[in-house]
Amino acid sequence: MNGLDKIRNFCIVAHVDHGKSTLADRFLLHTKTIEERVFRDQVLDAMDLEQERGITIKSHPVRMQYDADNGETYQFNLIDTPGHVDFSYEVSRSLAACEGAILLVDAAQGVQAQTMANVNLAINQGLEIIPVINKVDLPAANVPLCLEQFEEILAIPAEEVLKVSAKTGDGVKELLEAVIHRVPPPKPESKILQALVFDSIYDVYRGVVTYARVVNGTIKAGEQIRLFSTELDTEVKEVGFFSPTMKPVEQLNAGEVGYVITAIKTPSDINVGDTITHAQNPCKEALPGFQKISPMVFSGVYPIDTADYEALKANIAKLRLNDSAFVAQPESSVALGAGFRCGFLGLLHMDVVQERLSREYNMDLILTYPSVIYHVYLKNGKMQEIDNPLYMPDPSTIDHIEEPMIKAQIISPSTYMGNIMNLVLEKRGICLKTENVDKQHVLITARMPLHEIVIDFYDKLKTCTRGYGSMDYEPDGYQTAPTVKLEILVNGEPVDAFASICHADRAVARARMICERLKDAIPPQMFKVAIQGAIGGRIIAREDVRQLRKNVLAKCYGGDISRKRKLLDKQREGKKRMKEVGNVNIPQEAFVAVLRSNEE
Amino acid sequence: MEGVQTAFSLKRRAPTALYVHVPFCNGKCDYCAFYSEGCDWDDELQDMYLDSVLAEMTRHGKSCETLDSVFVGGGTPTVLHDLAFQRLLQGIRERFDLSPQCEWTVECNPESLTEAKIDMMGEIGVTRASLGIQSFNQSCRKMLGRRGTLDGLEHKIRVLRHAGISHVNLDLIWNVPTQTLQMLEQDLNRALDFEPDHISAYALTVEEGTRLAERQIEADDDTFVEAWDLIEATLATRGLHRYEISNFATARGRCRHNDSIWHGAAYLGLGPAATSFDGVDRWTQPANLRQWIGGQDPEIDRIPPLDRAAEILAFGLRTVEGWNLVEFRNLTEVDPIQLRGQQLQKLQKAGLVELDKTTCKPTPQGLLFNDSIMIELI
Repeated sequence: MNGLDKIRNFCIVAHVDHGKSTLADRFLLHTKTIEERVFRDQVLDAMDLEQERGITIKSHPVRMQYDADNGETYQFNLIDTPGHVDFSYEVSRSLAACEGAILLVDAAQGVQAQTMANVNLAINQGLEIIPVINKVDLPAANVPLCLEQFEEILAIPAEEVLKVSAKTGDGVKELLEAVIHRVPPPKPESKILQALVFDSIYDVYRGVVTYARVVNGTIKAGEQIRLFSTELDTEVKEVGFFSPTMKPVEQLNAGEVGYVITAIKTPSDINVGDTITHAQNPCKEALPGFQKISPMVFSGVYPIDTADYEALKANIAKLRLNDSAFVAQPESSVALGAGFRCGFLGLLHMDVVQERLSREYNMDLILTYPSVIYHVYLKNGKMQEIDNPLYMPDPSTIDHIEEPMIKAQIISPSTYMGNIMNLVLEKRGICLKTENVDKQHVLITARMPLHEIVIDFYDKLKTCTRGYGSMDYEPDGYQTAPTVKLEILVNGEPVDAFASICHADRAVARARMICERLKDAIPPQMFKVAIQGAIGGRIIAREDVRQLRKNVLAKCYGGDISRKRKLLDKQREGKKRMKEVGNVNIPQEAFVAVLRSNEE
Repeated sequence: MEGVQTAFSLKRRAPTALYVHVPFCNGKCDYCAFYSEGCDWDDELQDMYLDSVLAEMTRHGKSCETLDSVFVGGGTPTVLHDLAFQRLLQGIRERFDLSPQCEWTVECNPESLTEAKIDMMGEIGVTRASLGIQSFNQSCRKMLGRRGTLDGLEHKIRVLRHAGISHVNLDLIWNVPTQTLQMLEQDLNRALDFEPDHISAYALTVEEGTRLAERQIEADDDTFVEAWDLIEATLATRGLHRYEISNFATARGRCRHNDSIWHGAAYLGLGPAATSFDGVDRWTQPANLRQWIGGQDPEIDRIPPLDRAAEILAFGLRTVEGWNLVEFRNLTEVDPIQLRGQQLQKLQKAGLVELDKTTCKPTPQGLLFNDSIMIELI
């Protein structure tokens, strides 16, 4: 095997769509890791959804043999990183497995918020940055502007920046050479095994396949190893690397990146960021930076057809095998039946999970209004973490409530700065700082409630910047906010599926919106039925369901009965899909109408 | 179905009611969804129809019980030419065993109801005439696309009574677009002036395939409930009381034929588009004269016995009297409470059904919301 000085571990950080996967593919072709004839677009993105959305969710490390200009052969380990805000912890662990990072910027789009965030992460990890402008072949490419952005905001001198076209292959050779020269080789500090877990996947046949970077020591099949955070001991079944398919090897050495298959069958037993060491001679300390990732956004996920519950359960279990950040607890709603309370890292994560369930598994789902984790301080001095309106304590026992905040970085053409500032204000945020990225772009740093981000901030940002604005965020503590549980009553009975936790100032508008939508979606009823929005028993909005004055067929004799029954059968089929709340049949469409739409 | 044995079966019963469908009219009215050949017929076709329907009578006559009621409907039975009309009535008289009190109704169009036909009806033993008036108001008649005139109606009703046909029903249609409550009240009073012992007052239903539907006419339900109450109150002043959703009669004027069918009686239907029921299955002849003459099989409506029993229960609740629980049990051999107790209680709570130890009947509200009862029970 190569000596340490012939190993380069690096990743590519880029905004969504800036060509990361294309560049990775180009590397694979150039190093003959994969042959042209078996080449498939974006080999690294295994999942269809990723290909379709151009979003990489999971990272796959790939090993390449690169014959350099100096006549030596190098081992390149390319670690593909997820490209979205929700996965920043996973990104940070992937970065921690590297010594260098290629910073890829689209020549036509320039530096985006995502890029900023990831560069900052990479710099904090002490990674060597290789700045690259991609898509220089595009007619819309504006290389000088990109160079200016690099200088201005990232303090990267223009002469360090490489120009490539991953699509045509131009500049790729130079980039690979730069990896050798700029990215330092790994430097083990001890003989005691320390390997960083930066991801894992679940393979139906192999069980949990852990992706690891061996920082110190060696790891081989048959050894007893220990997962540092959980102190779970297990046996190594196989080690190897991806090139691009799985290639078993006898052992993985210090500085190398590869996979480890153990006797562990439960994905949640292996945490990203954990340290693998030997059970016999364990390391004293874990590698730095481990966090137990926990979901930040919660929502109830229900099948529209209650008969689909078992299928939903099975599919959620399948998804969780490959997405340990996604959590799900069985939950049941009077209105929606049996379902799951699910936790997500963020809005995109929630979107991705929902889409995978509905597309890959063909499920028709309904999601309840998303919630964040509120810190509810009670008058008795205790604090409760609440992420579900059902468990919100009685308002009379609450002293105050704190909501999670985020610090957002928004990059946009300067033209839209006013729009963004207004949006931030509208979303209860404050602008902390505005900086120029270049002559045409600004970077706005704002502090906002996470809940607002979860609802519709992205969509609105895109709208008010004509699609040019981008943003990234990180958690930024908690802040007191007048927060209430809004209940929706139908005929005096609360409908659990419509309950939500929201800001007091937003409650009336939201209650009105829901009441109006419900009024239109609930068919006329025999009796006067009120739809009310209420906070702790105080009614803040009301609509009345249209009243049905009669429901009768005038003519029905011997010859009409069969026909009539068939008509009624149809009506009843419709009724089956309704939920009865407070003696009122609420059609499924009403739930969908209320829950699927954003505010306003 | 808890408490009810799963091997439950209903008994097939011999018909006690006969319906004969006459598929001819002098043209089709815009609201009518019943099957008829319209005006596309001649005497020869009527004779062919008569041959077939008489053959059917011969075939089925023996399998019927003594009949409690006969209903000749359509279409317009009175557009048959005189000989055909006579063959039809005579055929029924000869091929079936009619009970001495047998109610025998013939639907009549006032225009084609000649004195000759009235005489035949009287002689052969028809007891009841049902006259399609629909409305006395010209603008309503126009809106409905109602054919013919009502000239000489008073005289014809007098002749009917003179011929011994003492029971007279007048059909009215209300909730007609542009019809005001005042116009409705006038219609009701005009009808009452003829002193019928029965009035059928149907709220306009625009049915698929009718010319009204083609004309995109929609019934306007704004004053539906007011009209519903007005009809009930106005007719009651002359002793005609609601006994079914759309039917009003004096104590002795009820249509026993329809009343028995709402209460689960077995009936034989002859002629194209006619429906029969034997207590278990229901079947309907092809709604096409030539196909029917050609012997095409009827369409069979077969559902599980317990569902059928529930259907019988539900349709009985179209009548004001509803069900005597013992009678229902005698008819179907299943206890209505075991069958649909939970649903009945729910309907009771909703104020649609009155339920006690002996009876189960719709409340006034339960008549207005009869489909809600149906949905729950069927």
